[in-house]
Amino acid sequence: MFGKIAWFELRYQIRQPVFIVTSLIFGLLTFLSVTIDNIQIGSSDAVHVNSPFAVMQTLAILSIFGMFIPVSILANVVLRDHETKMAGIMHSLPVGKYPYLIGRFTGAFAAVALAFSMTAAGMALGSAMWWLDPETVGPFRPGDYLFTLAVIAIPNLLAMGAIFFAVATATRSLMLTYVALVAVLIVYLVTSRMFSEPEFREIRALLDPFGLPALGNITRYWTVLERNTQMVPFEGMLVWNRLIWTGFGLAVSALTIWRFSFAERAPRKADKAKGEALAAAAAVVPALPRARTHHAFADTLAQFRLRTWFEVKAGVKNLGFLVLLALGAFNALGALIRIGTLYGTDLYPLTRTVVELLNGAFSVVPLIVSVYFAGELVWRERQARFNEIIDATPTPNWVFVLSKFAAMALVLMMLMGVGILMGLGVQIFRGFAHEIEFGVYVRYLLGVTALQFLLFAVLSMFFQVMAGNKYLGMLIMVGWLILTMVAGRLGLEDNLLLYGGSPDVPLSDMNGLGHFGPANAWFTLYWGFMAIILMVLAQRGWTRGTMAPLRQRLSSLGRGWTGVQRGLVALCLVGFAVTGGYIFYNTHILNEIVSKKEGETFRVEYERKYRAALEKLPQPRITDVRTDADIFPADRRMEVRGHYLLENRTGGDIPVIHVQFQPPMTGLEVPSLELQNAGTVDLDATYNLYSITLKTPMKPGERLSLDYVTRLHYQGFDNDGGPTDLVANGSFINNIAVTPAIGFVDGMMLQGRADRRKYDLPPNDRMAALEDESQWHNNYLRSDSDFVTFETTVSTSEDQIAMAPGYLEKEWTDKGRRYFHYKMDAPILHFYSWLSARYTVKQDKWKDVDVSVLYHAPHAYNVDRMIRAVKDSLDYFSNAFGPYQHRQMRILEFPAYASFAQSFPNTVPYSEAIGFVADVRDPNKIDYVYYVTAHEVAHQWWAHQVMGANVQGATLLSESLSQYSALMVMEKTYGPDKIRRFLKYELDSYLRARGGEDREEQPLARVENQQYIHYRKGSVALYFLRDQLGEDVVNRALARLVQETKYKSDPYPRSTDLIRLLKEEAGPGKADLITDTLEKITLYDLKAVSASAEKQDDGRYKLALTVKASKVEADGQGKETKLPLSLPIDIGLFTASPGDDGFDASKVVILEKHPVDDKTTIIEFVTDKLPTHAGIDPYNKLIDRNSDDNIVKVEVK
Amino acid sequence: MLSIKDLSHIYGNGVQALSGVNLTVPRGMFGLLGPNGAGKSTLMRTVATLQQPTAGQIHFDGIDVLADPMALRRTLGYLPQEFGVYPRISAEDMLDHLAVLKGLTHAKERREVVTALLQQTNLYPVRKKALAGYSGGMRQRFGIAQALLGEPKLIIVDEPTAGLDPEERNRFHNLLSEIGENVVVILSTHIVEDVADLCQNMAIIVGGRIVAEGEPLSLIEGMRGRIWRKVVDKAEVADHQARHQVISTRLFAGRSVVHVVSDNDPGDGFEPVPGSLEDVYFSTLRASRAAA
Repeated sequence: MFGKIAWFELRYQIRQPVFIVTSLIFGLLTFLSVTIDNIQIGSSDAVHVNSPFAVMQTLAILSIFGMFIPVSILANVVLRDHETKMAGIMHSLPVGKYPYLIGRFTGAFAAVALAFSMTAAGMALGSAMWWLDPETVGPFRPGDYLFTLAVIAIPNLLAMGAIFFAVATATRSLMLTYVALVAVLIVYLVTSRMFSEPEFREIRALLDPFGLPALGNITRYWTVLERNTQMVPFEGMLVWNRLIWTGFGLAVSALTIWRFSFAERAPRKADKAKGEALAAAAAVVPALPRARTHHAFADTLAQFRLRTWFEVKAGVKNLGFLVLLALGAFNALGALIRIGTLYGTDLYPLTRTVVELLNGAFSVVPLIVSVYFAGELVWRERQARFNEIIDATPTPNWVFVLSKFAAMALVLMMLMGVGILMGLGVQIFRGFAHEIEFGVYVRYLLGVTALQFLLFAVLSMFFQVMAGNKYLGMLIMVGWLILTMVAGRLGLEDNLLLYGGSPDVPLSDMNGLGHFGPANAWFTLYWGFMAIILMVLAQRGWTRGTMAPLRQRLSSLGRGWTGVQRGLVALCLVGFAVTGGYIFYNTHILNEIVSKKEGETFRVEYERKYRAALEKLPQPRITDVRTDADIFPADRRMEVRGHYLLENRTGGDIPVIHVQFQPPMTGLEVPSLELQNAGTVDLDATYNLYSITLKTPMKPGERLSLDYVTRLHYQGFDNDGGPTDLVANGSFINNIAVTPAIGFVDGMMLQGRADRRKYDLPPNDRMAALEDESQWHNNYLRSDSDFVTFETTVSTSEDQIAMAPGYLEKEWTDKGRRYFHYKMDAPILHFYSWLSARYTVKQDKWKDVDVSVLYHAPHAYNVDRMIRAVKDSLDYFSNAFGPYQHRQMRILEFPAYASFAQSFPNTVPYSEAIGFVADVRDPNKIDYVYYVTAHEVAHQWWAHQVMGANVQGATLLSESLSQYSALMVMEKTYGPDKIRRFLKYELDSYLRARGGEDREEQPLARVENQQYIHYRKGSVALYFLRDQLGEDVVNRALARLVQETKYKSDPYPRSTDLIRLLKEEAGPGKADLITDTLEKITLYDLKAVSASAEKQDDGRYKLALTVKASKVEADGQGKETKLPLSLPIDIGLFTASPGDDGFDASKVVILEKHPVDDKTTIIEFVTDKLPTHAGIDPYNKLIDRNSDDNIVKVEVK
Repeated sequence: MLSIKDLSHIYGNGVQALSGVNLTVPRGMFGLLGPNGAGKSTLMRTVATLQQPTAGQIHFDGIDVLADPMALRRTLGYLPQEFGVYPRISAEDMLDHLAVLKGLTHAKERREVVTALLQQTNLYPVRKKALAGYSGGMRQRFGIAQALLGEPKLIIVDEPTAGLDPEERNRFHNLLSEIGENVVVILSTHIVEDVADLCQNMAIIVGGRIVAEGEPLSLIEGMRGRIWRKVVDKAEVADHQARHQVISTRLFAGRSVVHVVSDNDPGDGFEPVPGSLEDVYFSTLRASRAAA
């Protein structure tokens, strides 16, 4: 019996549209993820699209979204009989409850599993498609799919399905089951975010219902090779996690089935009986009083008010609304708990950050509301079966349509209101009441975000009315939302063409909504007119009474227009056309839309046209730079007059000089270009490339001057909002944007390996080999200049300060403009920028160096901290490495359009989004403001004095050494035990990024501008070296590096110079260690196995710590070879765990190095105090593949 | 006066619900009688502006209903065949709400009318109760109350007594009969007694066609002397149906009462009976089915 019922159920389910549609969707999703470049989960350029890792990652992540499948299919098991009113018949059949329900549940769950399995089928099928780049496809391994389905996906579906099955059974409501789904989804996402810090990894691995953290813990540090070749071992936490959730699923299902009752629910009797009794008493029937009906416009307005209020009341009483509201609030709170966390440190809850987070948190819930509520509202009368009465009243259509829209708008506003209240609450709670800017809340959340949602709401209502069926309407709307998400990828990038499209509005405290505000407003107005037209059409298409077939409804749209409707639509069409025309003028005539594909083609064509001829062509070098710039912030305009002195440093004649400006698509104009001794000029206007044949070839050693004028003028607005470098307040313009380069520019070529393959371009090296002597005389910033002289006169509006590298020679005001003349007296790299803003200046002095921070007045929080960091850094670095080359050091704030800090000669632009507003008041937090500042100051040595050659390993000399230098300054201020937490972040982030490598990992000495290596690994590796060799030794080597290679460009220094100096200073005994650390990819695995203490007769403690250690070398793909280990490693005994808050030097009982080899080592101590924790490498100085098992609790015997 | 000319309706799936309906409905109570599926509701909904017919014309007191539905709605009271209710709304609130939608925008007048209607329909004591808790009869009375809002000149009640118990039905009839003589009331039903009890005029609709039309009394008069009755055992019914034009058989105390129509005495133990509206109805049904 059971089997038959299950089989019947399965056959029933797989014929349902729900099954067919979900199977198709899920199958298609993975099929597309494999076959389309832009949608990829778990694979990268080097990890195969069907690698075991990609299979596992894709199916596991999709199993979260797979929750939707059991909602409809399993809920159907219990709801079907009631909905079809078959319950009475079905439940009176002579079948026991258990075989009946278990059979049905089993059958339905089999359908669920089957539908989800389409993901595997789609992926397998997709990876067999002939058009795929064969390099991105690995062998077909069916076991991967089966394992992931069986171990990850199906238990997930069971656990989640059980919840929804229980909710459906308890509530008998599909709606509430969907609500439960949304609730589970949001609670899951929010809790995941709240517990995202590494310290929660273990507990999440155990308890996460989808098993993702357990998988993550195993695969986090997997390399490309591992990702391509191995499946997750089914062991450890993963097993427990799967057991817990499978057990949960089975238990909840069993409980639900046990509690399920065939009995009908009793109707609520009391009310009815009472009503009946009262009604029975007949009353004297009075005559009807006279009452006239009124149908003037004012009466219709009264009807509109009544209906709106009626719809709103019903809306807010709707359980769905309350749940969505609660979820919205929960979601907002989740976003606000940790604001902009970096290294575990939050940002201050400034209005801008709060508003942007709310905007993100409210990106999904209002969409659900507009899809769900439009359906509920439009079909409300029909669902209540009250429509015939309402439809026969003399109330015009527009009252119904507009009141329903008004209700939806109000619901959306309430949702937004709750978000705003949460934001204000968080600001007040964290003591930032005085920073609340109501204007920003209103302008951004109401003026930008909410209007966007209203546009969606109109469309959703329109679809509902036209579709003539609630679920079809919802489906169309969801389809449309998906279309908007992929529109960009399909080449539909023009916001004029996609309903509701408008540029994003990034916020900045310095620049407010900037030019983005008006751009967005124009698009909103444009689509607003369309929305009104849609509303009129919805009003016209509003069916009263019996629903006619679509064709009839569409044809009736055209008939019987009233004058008002005609007038309104005509007016809106005019408005739509006029605003559209204005936008078109701005986005297509003043500016242009460059699609992703056009951008790629542009680069490909450049390479095809010029690479062969120009790349190796000898060209003169720029030796002197003078650039005068006039910045007009309000106009977003800049006029530049530049002068280069070019010198032929090659051994031969140069007949033609190629001057390359930024291409016209960036908005750059070149009104004038004069080269001394120029003959004919050949201009490629597409690329702004001037090829100038000289009258007489340039002789070796000859110098020529080049004078040019450029203009950058951002007029109107762009389709995507436009560039952020030249703005009303807070301009930050890079020299590259407005000044020319000489010769071929590598950076203009298409870079991504897969992208290049797509266009049949040969693979590009990320950097020239360390041994490639042809690049030893180029630096890695640009190959047309070495160290240059520099001078600039920059002007800006009267209320702003304009900054550039150099010393301020003169400052004056002329005709309402402020002028600044900066000049460098030492050579600098050809790398500078101008900044202009209404700055507040804080000045200080370190020795004879002026230290200043130029900042946005309200952002004074960390200015003193930055100044201290600069002074401490100058102190340490000039002591350790050599003198600071300038007499000024300036930090300049720039808007939050980017969030980095960058070091130019004696100036450091620093984004308002990071250090200026970081909340570093808590001394337990990592003070990354201090750290980042120190790093940027260190670049004044490591880059601006010692600049690496344009070969592998160059950024070891700039970035890694700056990381090391900053760590040293931080250690001096905050103590070595605070470095631990920082290094743990760095180590984790290095190990994790290894698997995302798209070519091959390089050792530090050959790093190819790979950030995870030169920053993350650089920190850990160099700190480790200094720990092993001693600070003096490392710093002596670095000081010698500065001495030997300062400003040196023939050749530029290489990583080998650093290694040589380190080895010389450290002595031959440490050579292997240095090689392991810098020239190889060496990984350790250290583990504290156990620690036990025993009290001795003398009152002291005898402690034995057992540790295990091993060492491997990895190749670029992550293939590991075991190496013998013999190294003194930190062994520590503590009275608290070094990871705890408040851990400091007082908690250290013993910390000393002990020689450790790759056998199990037992180390014994005798201590006065009883340590609670003991471990190996407790401060994570080594590159340890699992740094979470280094410390154990001490067991007392 | 309501006049319907050549009204036809074909549904999207090809079903012809109405074909060439011509009907003139004078003031007073008009009964539209027909079996289930005869097209009653389609006709009612079409007149009530809730459905566009495929062809034909409807006029009411100078209003071209199909061209200007809004004008008719201003003077229409409609009680659909079945209707649900919004959850959590009381009868009084709902009636007040509908009154505004009908154009009773003056608050004081509206309150008076709503109160009076609740009293007339005997719902006043339970006016604060949620409609959702009402019994079928109470709900129908609410339905008639809302149909009377705004002094309609045309009232359409579609199958109002279906599913009501006899007491409820009786009460409902009383209520309907209160409605003034000066308005057009169309009552569609498949229950002969409804029409017999209430209507001055009537029509019978079968298969989307009007097959009989007139005053009930004159229709009954037309049957005088042609209806014959016999009480037989159940086993004999089939035999009688084969030999006579049986228009109805009804069980009474375990035996079957057979009515036949015949111009002459059919003999065979039949006795003449005075015709009732029921006999008119069944004989018309039989005739039109035979023709079809």
